[in-house]
Amino acid sequence: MRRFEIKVALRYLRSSGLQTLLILAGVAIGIVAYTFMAALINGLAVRLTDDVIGSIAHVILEPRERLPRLLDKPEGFSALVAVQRSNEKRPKIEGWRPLVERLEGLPEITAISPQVIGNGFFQRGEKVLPVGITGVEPARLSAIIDFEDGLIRGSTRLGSGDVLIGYRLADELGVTTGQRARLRSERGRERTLTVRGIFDIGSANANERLAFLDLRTAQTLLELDGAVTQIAMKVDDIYAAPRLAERLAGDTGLEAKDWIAENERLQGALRAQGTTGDLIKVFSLLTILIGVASVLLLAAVRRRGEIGIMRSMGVSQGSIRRIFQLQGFFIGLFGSSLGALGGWLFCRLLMELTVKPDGSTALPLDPALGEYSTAIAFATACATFAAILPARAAAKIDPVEAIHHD
Amino acid sequence: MIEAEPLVTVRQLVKTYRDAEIETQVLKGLDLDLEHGGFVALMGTSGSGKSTLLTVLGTLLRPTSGSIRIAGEEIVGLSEKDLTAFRNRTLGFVFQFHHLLPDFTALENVLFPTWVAKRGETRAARRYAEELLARVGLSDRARYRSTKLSGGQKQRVAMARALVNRPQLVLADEPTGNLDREASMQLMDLMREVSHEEKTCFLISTHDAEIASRCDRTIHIVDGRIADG
Ligand SMILES: Nc1ncnc2c1ncn2[C@@H]1O[C@H](COP(=O)(O)OP(=O)(O)O)[C@@H](O)[C@H]1O
Ligand SMILES: [Mg+2]
Repeated sequence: MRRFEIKVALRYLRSSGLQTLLILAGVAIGIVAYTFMAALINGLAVRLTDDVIGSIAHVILEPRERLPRLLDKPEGFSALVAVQRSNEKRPKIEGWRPLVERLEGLPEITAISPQVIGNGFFQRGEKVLPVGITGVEPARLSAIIDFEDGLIRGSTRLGSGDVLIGYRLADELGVTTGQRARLRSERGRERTLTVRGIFDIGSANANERLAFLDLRTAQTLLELDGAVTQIAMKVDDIYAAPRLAERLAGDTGLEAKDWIAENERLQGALRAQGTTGDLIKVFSLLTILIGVASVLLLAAVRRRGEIGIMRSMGVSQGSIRRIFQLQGFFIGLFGSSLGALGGWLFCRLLMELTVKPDGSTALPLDPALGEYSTAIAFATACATFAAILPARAAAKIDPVEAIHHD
Repeated sequence: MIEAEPLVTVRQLVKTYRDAEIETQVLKGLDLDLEHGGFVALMGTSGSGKSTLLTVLGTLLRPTSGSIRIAGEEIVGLSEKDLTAFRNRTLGFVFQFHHLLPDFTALENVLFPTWVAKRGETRAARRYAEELLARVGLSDRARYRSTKLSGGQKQRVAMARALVNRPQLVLADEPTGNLDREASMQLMDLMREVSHEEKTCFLISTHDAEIASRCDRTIHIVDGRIADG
């Protein structure tokens, strides 16, 4: 690359004022679309993920399911069996306290909650409603789900014989705080519980079908003798959850589930969104490609005579090629830098315009996630690539014809 | 430099244009010698092959056959890359049209061949370019966009540009073809002065006898050959 090549390329762009402005605007608009799309899709992904991971455990340790062992099958025969889980008693984790203490020492685990999980029915008057029972240590009530934030009525202080339920379950049962309802567990044990608090934690299922009890009360109802059925955890890096789960499974001999594997639908939705976004990004890059190629092709034709003169002064075909190649590069770089700035401003503006009275915004846009440097890199590469054909055409111009026949 | 050898020696130069089926032989075994520092007019009727000869000598067009030695170097058969460098180093051009690069100032146009040269624009080159602009009477127009100049001014800038790398041979194809009489004579006088002072050989094509009369020597191209010495 020679200095005069850069000089000529820049001068050509500067002196074709309006044309240059138009193509720069074209590239910039493409990149506004690109970065806006990125900010929207990424923002949406973060919001969806936040909504989901806010109220679920990131890693859950459970006892391995003990399946009935198959008798050795005779050689050459395949076994065709149906395995039926034992429904007698839930598999449980005994001696969980030292394990929880050990887990609390791990820096990547931010919250931990030993729990018992089971099923039961609420009875009140004529009504019998099925519920999922979750027993938690009162001190760790909000480790996984933020009940302080989700509480509508009452308090989150769970004592023995207290229960927290969602507002929809409360409506269906026709109870409010301080009132009582009878709970019958899957083991057939019954107890009358006092509704201590009513919550709304965003998930319809939780609001309608979950009941949170103090650990001991739940253990008694489910006949678990001081054992728990699972240990739920939150971690600092949610995307490292699968790796941590694998490690814990190896260390403890328990089964470890991570939120990503358990939320296949969310992952699918995020992937589909990502693909849509990628498609739009590709289209915006394609328009840049075509725009730059056509502008430079026209420029090569328009500047035939000058190219002839330059060749007569000893400018090589390679230099002519690079002069046009550089124009593509600069159009891409300048246009996309403008576009990145424009995209960011556009996102900010949209957020300002759609801000709700409480200060949150209706759009899931995140201007910080506009992938600006990727956009600039891609657009610059595209524009440089688009210049290949015009640059070749310009280099091939016959100086004699260009000088004499015009 | 061996003074015994002429600057340009052309022997048995043939140039045939092939356009689809039609072959036009324009140069038909042309011989020509040009001395160092010569100031030579090339005359001939329209279509006689003046432009063809100049572009072949200028290495922009390859001959069909024959030999061309310029400044001690046989240029027929050189690679495109070598020809490009040779052009920048040894030759200067002045054309009838397409005088200047429109996006650059007069001074930048004059400097352009020095940018292309291997060593780039030096302080000495810049001083020389300014000197050349002064010489063609355009110091006060140095920073003008070349499009803002008149036809005669453009051609004078083009001449300064042709000279900036101190070439040994300047090829001028009807440089006065688009100028009025006064501007034409002014340009011819300038070229003659420079030719004599800098020992630069000029070959100037024209079909105008009065222009040719300003030269030290006139050669005629007739039927694809030089008709006189
Ligand atoms: N590229 C070309 N293809 C075919 N014929 C050409 C080409 N260029 C010039 N000629 C022909 O060659 C002859 C000489 O042209 P030229 O060298 O331009 O003459 P002059 O400059 O003396 O007017 C003319 O008959 C012209 O038509
Ligand atoms: Mg001609």
